[in-house]
Amino acid sequence: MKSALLLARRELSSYLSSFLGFIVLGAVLLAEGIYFNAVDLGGAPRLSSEVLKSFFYTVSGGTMMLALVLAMRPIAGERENGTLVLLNTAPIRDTEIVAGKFLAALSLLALHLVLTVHMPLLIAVNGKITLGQVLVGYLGVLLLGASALAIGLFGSALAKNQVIAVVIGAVILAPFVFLWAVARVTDPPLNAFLSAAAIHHERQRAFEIGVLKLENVVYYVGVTYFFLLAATKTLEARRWR
Amino acid sequence: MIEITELYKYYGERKAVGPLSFSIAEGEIVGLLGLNGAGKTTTLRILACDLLPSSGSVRVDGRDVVDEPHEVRQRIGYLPDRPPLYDEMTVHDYLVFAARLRGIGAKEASSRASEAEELTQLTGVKDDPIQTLSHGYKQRAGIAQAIVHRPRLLVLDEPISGLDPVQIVEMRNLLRSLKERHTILLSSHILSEISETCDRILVIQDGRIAASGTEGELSKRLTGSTIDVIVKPVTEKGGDVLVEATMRAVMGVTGVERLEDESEGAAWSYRGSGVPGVWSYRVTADEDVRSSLIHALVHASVPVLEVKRSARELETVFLELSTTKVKASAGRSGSARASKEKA
Repeated sequence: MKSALLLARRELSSYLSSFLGFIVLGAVLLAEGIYFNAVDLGGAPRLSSEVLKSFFYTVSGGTMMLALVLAMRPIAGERENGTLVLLNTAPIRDTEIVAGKFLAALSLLALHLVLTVHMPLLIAVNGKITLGQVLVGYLGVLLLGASALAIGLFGSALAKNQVIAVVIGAVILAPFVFLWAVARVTDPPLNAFLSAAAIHHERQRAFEIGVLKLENVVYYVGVTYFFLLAATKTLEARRWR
Repeated sequence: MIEITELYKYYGERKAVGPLSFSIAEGEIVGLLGLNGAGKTTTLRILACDLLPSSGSVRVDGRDVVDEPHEVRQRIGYLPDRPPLYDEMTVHDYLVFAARLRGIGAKEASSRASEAEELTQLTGVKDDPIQTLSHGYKQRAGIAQAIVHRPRLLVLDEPISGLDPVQIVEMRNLLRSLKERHTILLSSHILSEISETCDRILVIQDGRIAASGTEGELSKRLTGSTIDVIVKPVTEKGGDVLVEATMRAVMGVTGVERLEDESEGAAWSYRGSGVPGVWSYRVTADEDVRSSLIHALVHASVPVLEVKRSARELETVFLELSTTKVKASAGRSGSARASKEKA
């Protein structure tokens, strides 16, 4: 685990030392801010909790996209730059490599969420919301982000370069996101299965209104674990090729 | 230190290496010489535990690369063909990171990094970001990360490639200085580098060892002995016939060839030296017959200027080894013997 933290620290400082990291973060925050102002706050007057719910929906979209972008560099980028071999030939486990990369990117996702905190504050100033809804809502987005990040890292482990990595990540993530829509036009019992497998929308709804359900947490932790494991196994398998 | 037995590596259906067997003793500096695609990099990557072998056994210091990869990695410093450098980091931070990756504590890592900087003469640029370094310095930073944890074995994939002449000399000196502390296996297709730096050369072709030995041994086994002879022109009638016949009569000589082209052999050095139109010969023999040649020529009153072993370029040897299948397979049995003796 020490090696994972060492890797995470290097990865984080590398993100923060490049302008690109800040530009991406800034762009996502800007898009979320504009959408929040125009759509979530605009329109007919609503209950504050309703506005907060829309806010989390907005931020969840930005978080998924940011997760995919953050995940493309850690493994595929290192492979492209020829630095992955340094990790591959060091006495550390592949699990630690994946864990280190994941932790670094997750910290940035968390930083991104911290930087959106002014939006719920704005709602709180003009209305009335509960701390519970804010905390549970953020937890939901963070869990969603972790899952998207794991999917992205799996894409990164598979790909030769960063562009392919982000494409693979998006191709896996997109069906997970749109399964709820498919579920709506599907007959039972298949629709129940599809909507249970969906990563967004229905799965986020409980978090958005401040309800913490164990099944939802288990779902996100499960997806994250599965794809991190797949990324690790991919790294291991590549030594045979 | 290294024992490779019947190693095979396949990429899908394509065989990259095999059957490959050789061993390297502690303290040796050995060059792996081969054309692109001969299997050098694959072999080194397997040694460094970056790739797994398809079959066969690869042991470093008695540890198997498949069963105990962590133990092997602790003992190896590996420089891939492209140094694994994080451009945005400073040299020192990078080396500290590399040391800590190999399990060295934070405090110790910094002093190990400084030690590696000193050995590779990077102290002056230790606080510079790696992206600002020249190719030569980057290559040295790559070597520094390979030695920062004081491994017993250094595996360097083409450490010389792309360096300018001054950097090549510096790198050569660096490699020689590292020899005191590490066993070194390096690959190259720059032949002169291999011959000057290494104790022994393994010529690899189609994933097998085609020959092994020192430059001299390799050269001799393939070519016997070639001698360049330069004499002043013998002005008497039939002088040229006399000179040739004298040399042919020497025991062991198998051929005498007059070199008409002045740029060949050693005659070029006489151009413009005031010695007009020297005669230059290339003599081939079963063994080193220089003293008998000199004796015979002097006895026949031929004005000898020079008799010396032909500086056959290793390049030629190498090309013969790696392109002539017949010779290569003849050499293979010899190399197996040689490596067994060495082991």
